[in-house]
Amino acid sequence: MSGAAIAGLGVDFAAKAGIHHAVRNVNLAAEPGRILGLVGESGSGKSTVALALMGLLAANARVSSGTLQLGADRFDLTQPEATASLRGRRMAMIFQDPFASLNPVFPVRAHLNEVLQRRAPELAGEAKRQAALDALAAVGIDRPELRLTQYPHELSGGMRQRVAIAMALLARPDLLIADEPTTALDATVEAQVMKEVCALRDRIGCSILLITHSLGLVAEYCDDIAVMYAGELVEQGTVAEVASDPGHPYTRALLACEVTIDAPRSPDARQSRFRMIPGDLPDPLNPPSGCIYRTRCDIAIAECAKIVPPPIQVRKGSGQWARCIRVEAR
Amino acid sequence: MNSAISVRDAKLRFGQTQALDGVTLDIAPRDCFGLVGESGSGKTTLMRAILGLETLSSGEIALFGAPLGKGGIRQRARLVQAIFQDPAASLSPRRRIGQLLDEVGEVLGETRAEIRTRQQALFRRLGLPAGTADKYPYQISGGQARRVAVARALLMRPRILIADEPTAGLDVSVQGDLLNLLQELRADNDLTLVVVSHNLAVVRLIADSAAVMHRGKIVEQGPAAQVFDAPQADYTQRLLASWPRLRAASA
Repeated sequence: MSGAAIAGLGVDFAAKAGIHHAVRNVNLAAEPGRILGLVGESGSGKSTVALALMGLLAANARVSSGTLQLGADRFDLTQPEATASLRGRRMAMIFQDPFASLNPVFPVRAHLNEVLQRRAPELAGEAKRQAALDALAAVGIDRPELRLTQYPHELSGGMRQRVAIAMALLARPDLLIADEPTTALDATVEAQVMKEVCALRDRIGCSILLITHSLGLVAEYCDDIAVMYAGELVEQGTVAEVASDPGHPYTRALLACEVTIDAPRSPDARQSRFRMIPGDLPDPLNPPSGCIYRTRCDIAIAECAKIVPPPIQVRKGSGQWARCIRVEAR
Repeated sequence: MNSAISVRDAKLRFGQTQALDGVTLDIAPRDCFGLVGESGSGKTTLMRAILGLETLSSGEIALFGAPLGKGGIRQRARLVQAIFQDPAASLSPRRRIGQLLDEVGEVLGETRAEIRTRQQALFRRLGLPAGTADKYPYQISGGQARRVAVARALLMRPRILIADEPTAGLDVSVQGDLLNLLQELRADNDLTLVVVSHNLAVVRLIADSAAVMHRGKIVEQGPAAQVFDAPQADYTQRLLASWPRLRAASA
């Protein structure tokens, strides 16, 4: 397996006031056996990237450019249904709300059987049932025999998400996209579910694209990180590099805003103050010239309004890059 | 001195679920009290009981020494106000922000002019744009909706403000703004603040004292520094261990 590479992805939305270029020139490489965390805040376009790959964009959206390279095959994402043949086979997705992605009128068994029919049509009868049971047991679901017969509403949120992971496990995709898979879950359940996502990566060696707003989650569980802001990728590298020495001022600001459980604590809680990023996202219909982040940037200079920054290597001998002409000023 | 909030052996049952299973706690005036726990632990039920929105099966709740239930709803509304998780849902979509806030004046018996003056001062204080009062809830951002909810609560001049998941759904780049606002309000208004949240890291920094709820019970309670940095209960330790850390950044 050689992973998944997205090149030159652009997505436009038709709005009343004009065309909104929601995602611009996104290049991402998800290596096999690794988890790539795609981080961004509301409106950054991170979920739009996932939906464009899956071919699940809303009716008013259009992929304006971009290809997906999966192993030896290349797919032109501007074509309708470009990846339809991959869905549930070489490409699978886990959604934020498994209640919405599992069919409420079918028991767990039917969901797993559907995947097995596609991916292991030779299995039947007891062998098929055993494969389904094994998948449930593999993602840490207790009493799998009982769970097979249960409906989604009879399961807890964490268990529903485990069923979605079991489906992905049976689908054995080359690329698994997980869009905020733990956002609706409590911290202890989040940790368990992420452990299963990591186990899935190790078991089938697929590339995983984890889409999240949580830098903490990425730092804890991902191998690589890509940071999106207002429809553009602004930085990419390994988690170890980016978290310890971010090259882009936006990444730096995001890291500073993150409240950590081991942050220094003033003896008087009244003195605690929290970091934020002043300013607002740029108007999507009227973005600033030059660098997309310059209107909120604390180190912007006059040149930043003139140059659309290319990816610049952050450190010699490293794959980490940031789209910031002031990368040396960090 | 009387506690701002005193809860004694509060029990409340919903069908098969013991939502509150003998909760006892005291919150000192002008303290910031943090209540953490996972979904279904009973935190929101406890807050609703304190607000008089749920009736206990047994036990007692008193605000500044006065048992809940004595005195009418208006009197209680002057003592304790809350901002809820989904501020957009707590603002009627059919009415302008200004109209929503005028209602507060009616409860207090103030004139329209008095309430408008205070409203404008609060909007300035909370950093809400001048035109906000003329907008409908759908026309403002999530962060602004939360500020409007804070403004509505503060117009009542409460002595206790309960914030239920004040940062849920807010981006990390704007949540600090709201938290700083709560901190400043505490200093200005002699408020007792109760922050209910699943965000352990935020509560650890903002609270003077804290309690951890699990299955309707308080499993640990004490100064926030102790609860979060030297937890005694197994459950608290497990909860803290599962919290994601920015390992690489602190390495």
